[in-house]
Amino acid sequence: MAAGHHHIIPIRTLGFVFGVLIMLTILTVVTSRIDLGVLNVPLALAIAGGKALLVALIFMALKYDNPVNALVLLLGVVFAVVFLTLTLTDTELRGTLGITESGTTILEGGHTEEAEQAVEMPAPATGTLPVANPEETFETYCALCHNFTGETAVGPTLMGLGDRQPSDSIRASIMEPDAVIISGYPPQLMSTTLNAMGFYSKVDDASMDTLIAWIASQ
Amino acid sequence: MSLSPSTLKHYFTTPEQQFDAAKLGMWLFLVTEILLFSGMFVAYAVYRAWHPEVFAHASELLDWRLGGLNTVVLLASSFTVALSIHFVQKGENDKVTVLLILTLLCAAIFMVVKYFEYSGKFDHGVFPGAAFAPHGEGGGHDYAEYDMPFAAQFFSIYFVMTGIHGVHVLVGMGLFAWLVTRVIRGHFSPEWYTPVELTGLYWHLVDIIWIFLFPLLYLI
Ligand code: HEC
Repeated sequence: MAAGHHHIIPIRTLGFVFGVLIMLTILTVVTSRIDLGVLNVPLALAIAGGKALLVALIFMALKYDNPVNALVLLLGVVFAVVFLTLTLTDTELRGTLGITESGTTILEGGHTEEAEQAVEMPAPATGTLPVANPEETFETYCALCHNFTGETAVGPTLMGLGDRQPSDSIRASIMEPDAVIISGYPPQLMSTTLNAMGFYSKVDDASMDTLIAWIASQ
Repeated sequence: MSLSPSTLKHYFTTPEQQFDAAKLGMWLFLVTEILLFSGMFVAYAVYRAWHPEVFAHASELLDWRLGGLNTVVLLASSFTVALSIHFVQKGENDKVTVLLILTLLCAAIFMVVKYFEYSGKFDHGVFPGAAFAPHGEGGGHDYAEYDMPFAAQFFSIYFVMTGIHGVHVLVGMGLFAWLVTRVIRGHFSPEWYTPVELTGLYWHLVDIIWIFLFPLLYLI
């Protein structure tokens, strides 16, 4: 059995690949510091994929190897992609499925943990919200995610909202948060949380009117 | 020099066949490793898709310079491993020893950097899971700013993924130390170096996982 039977990869090739890998690392750092909008993530993943491919083909010698090894790797990757795709199709397209009524909904809504973490949930009691004290309502139900200071918290800031939007659309944002989702924010979060807190079963026209008026005046 | 009969298992007809079988077995193991990590990558993807702004903000707390340094260190170690296989195939075992020790050193540097990164986080209450309670200031960060809903998920994912990856690095270090003693004892030749080849494959996979972890956790 000749010693030269296994392909010996020349040092030059290995050195070249190493050089390219370092360049790609620099490239991924540089591009991540430029704001490319939605392109940042795909670009970083493409660069990482390219680096991984180089390592697999040359350092791991798949290029020179018995193709069955490459096939095994490919199968593994295919299954990882299937796993990722099916899971994301569920978590992203779940919609409001499972949100039926307050109390039970949160268990099926999929955002259970997060909602729990976001709020110390008061028991979803029934009753009405104070008409005369919208600030208290805001502190109890909204302040966890919104403020009027201009900073982005879990939800967008409501600073100057009254100048930007008529009260009808503020009302719609509160009563049906999922009808229009402001880009960059998670859908369902506000509706699930408020639902779990029993906000929707307690709010009535009068308390809603004062709440909207108060928010608009901030 | 040819293989001694004891090295060639009786159920293989040629050393070549035995080598290929060992390698295929290693690849199958590597695929299970990929699937192990894919579970964590999926968790990352789901939470990131749900809370993109929180993930973007929380990742600022990770120092891309340290992550980048570790990327370069791991790539260098993959390079030295690839070179060691080149030289073991040529029978230049002295160089193999040096290269494997260099690899071990790179792995150690990686772990030291990770140690500093972890302890820097722990000092400010950035723990995985329920203990998450960021506080204090340091490195230009006001840690309290990161005490927002869902940031804990990001850091739990960070610690679990880099932690399991780090365990793989430690295992790799053990393997390289073992290989060094075997090269020195003259166990390997161009005819037989299967353990070097297989450990090399393992190490490259550990590198590949980090190639994905670095941008996903530190950069974007
Ligand atoms: C769990 C966090 C959370 C809670 C609690 C919450 N919101 Fe929201 N809110 C959000 C998120 C996230 C968005 C952006 C996504 C969307 O449009 O639904 C949002 C959007 C809004 C908007 C639209 C803002 C704009 O710029 O158009 C308004 C108005 C609003 N919320 C009011 C409220 C009020 C009033 C309460 C309390 C009764 C409340 N929110 C409670 C998270 C929350």
